[in-house]
Amino acid sequence: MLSELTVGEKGVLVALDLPENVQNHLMHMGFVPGAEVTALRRAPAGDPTLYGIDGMEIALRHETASAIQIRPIEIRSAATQAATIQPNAVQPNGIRPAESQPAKIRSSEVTTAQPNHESPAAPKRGSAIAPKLAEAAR
Amino acid sequence: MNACCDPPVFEPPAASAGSSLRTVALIGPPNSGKSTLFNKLTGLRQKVANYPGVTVEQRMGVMAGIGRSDLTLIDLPGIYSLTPYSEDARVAVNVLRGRMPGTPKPDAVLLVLDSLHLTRQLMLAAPVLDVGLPTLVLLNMSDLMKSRGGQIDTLKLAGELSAPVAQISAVRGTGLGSVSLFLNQQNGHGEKNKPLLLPVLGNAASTHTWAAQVSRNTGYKAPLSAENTRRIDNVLLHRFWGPLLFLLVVIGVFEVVFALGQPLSDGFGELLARAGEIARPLIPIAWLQSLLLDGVWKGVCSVLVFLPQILLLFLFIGILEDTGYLARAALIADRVMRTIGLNGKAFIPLLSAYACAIPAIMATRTIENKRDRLATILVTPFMTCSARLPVYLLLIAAFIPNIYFLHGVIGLRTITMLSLYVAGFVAAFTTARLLKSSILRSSDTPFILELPQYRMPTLYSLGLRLMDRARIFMKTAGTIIVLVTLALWALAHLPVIHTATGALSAPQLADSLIGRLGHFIEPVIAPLGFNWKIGIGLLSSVLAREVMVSTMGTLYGADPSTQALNLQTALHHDMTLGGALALMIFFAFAMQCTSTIAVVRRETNSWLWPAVQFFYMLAMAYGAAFAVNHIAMAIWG
Repeated sequence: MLSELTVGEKGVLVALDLPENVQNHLMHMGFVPGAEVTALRRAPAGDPTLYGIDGMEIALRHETASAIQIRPIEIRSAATQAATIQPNAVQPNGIRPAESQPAKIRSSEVTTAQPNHESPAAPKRGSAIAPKLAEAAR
Repeated sequence: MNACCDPPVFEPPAASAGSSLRTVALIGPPNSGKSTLFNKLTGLRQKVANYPGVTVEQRMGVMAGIGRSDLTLIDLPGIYSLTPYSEDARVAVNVLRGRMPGTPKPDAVLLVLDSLHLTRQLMLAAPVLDVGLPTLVLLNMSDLMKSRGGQIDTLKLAGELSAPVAQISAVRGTGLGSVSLFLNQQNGHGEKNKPLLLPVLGNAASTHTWAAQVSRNTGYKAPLSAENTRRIDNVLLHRFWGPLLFLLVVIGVFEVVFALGQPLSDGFGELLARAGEIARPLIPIAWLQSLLLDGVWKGVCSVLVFLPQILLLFLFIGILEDTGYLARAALIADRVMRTIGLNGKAFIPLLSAYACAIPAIMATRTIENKRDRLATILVTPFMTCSARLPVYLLLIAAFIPNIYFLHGVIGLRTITMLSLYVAGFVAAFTTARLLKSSILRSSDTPFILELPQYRMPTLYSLGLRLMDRARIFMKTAGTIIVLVTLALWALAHLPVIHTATGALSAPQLADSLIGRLGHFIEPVIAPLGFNWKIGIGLLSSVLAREVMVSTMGTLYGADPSTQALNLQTALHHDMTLGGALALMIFFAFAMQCTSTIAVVRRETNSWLWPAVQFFYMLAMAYGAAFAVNHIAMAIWG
């Protein structure tokens, strides 16, 4: 989920699961599958969070961000571990998981690959290691 | 304005003869600098109205800014796409296709895009170009683009889009010559653009892919992100300093509005009243004199008297909005506003309502979500506006003893005043929750906020905005207020009576129609502890709350038994403590302000909502006053 990114972390958008008009609005703001999103900062009260996308800064509440699925940005290093990830790098039609069954399966695999809410430190650690792997791969 | 240094227009369409060009539409995404460009192109020659049947603002003007007063420029709402999900987008599509009643079909289109974020902004280009009107693509903020090291091949972009492209800076006014050139080459021929390989329209993902591809093909290099904005946000959105500075900004605005606005309003009112008195001897006929001065002029004054305060508030809201801080304020306030079911964008409007509900309601335009906006408009008049203060002060001075608690730290009068503020806030809070959990529920439209970069506001655009708001206020509130004043004047001066000397004269207020009305409604308001005089006051204060004070003055001044007393003592003579407390709470809740009703009608584009609001608030005021009076009677007998 996008909401699980800690400040400074990046992710690649996989799918949005929101009401159609909201989804359309967000996608026209740049939240399309394949786009790179950065968590920039949190509002002083801890929510909403400011996300950077296409050079713009857009604030989303936790409830909205948690309906947006992302995967780690390190495609190459991740690809060596899980081959399931690469086909949906660009998937123009995989907007809603409900519409496209394969996308749903893939994205759920991606999200369950990380331990969810139980330990917030885990995804952070994973992404800290991943860039090193990416460098090593090069 | 910009005779020199115009970048050339690329690929101008061939000039062709035909019917002449009349109407040009201006379209662009939010934060593309579209309004600034509109102001530059039209100068002061613009007018604002609502599109029929919707609450979307229609802004039109002649293009006097570039010497083309023969052309009308229509400013379309700032939108991200033409997908008709939002009312704004529906209006834009209808105008572009010439399907909007009362709006001429545009002959040409100016598409403004922020060149700093071109990839995403290009997503709007596809559907707009697809409409098929001659279109000039304007890449705005070219000055910042250059200074921050961005690049774009405009010639290639023109080729990709099959439309002329020009770089401009609306803020500096450079590049506007390209607009003139483009318009000169259009003769309303309506030549369709060359077929363009457009993405599947309406599909955001494919539009995005197309936009990314176009920007890649044209060698677009996004400029470095604005370091200044990030640095300023490090402070203004800081965990600790952010809210603190936010609080300081709020307090500062209020300090100025009250410390400067109140005396300005008072002085202005004094001046207007004096002008009326100077004119009095000039009108020979007594009844006409009374009609013009005590009727019409008094009404005009009661509108104008708000103007200094309203303009000051608008100036501050304008500065906050133009600098980009308003969006940050919304971000900071969102967490709190969410508890009442509204979002952060409702904060500044609700706050402004502590000075006056009118600018507050007009400021709700920044809330894109229609339901949130309506909910905000409906609860705004509960906030304790400055027009309630004279009534509160009079009643508190008359009925609340000046005693202090805690060794003089806090007085009973202060506590009373504070309670009234809290009562208004709690009413707004409860009503908002009620609305958002019932008829105005909008869980499907979450809070999405784009933070613009910080910008220096220009005096020109601030001035224009002030003029604009002042004009709307005068027109909306002015007309209805003058009508209401005339009606009230007639009610207070009829029926005509014969005096002892045989001359015709207006009756005493108590014997007039409004006096009879006061007597008539007495049974209804008696349970609240109000007599017929208060009834007259309530009726006349429908015009504006502070009218209550002057009406009471007139009534008690005319009554022989209270003539010698001052107003406070006279009131004390005539009312119980329960009645006075009930009257205060009645004023806290009732919507006694014709200007607000008029503005709500304008902003919601229907009489339904102001009517619902008026009767809801009236019912609440009546119920609360009834309860307060009876509780007071039970305690003090």
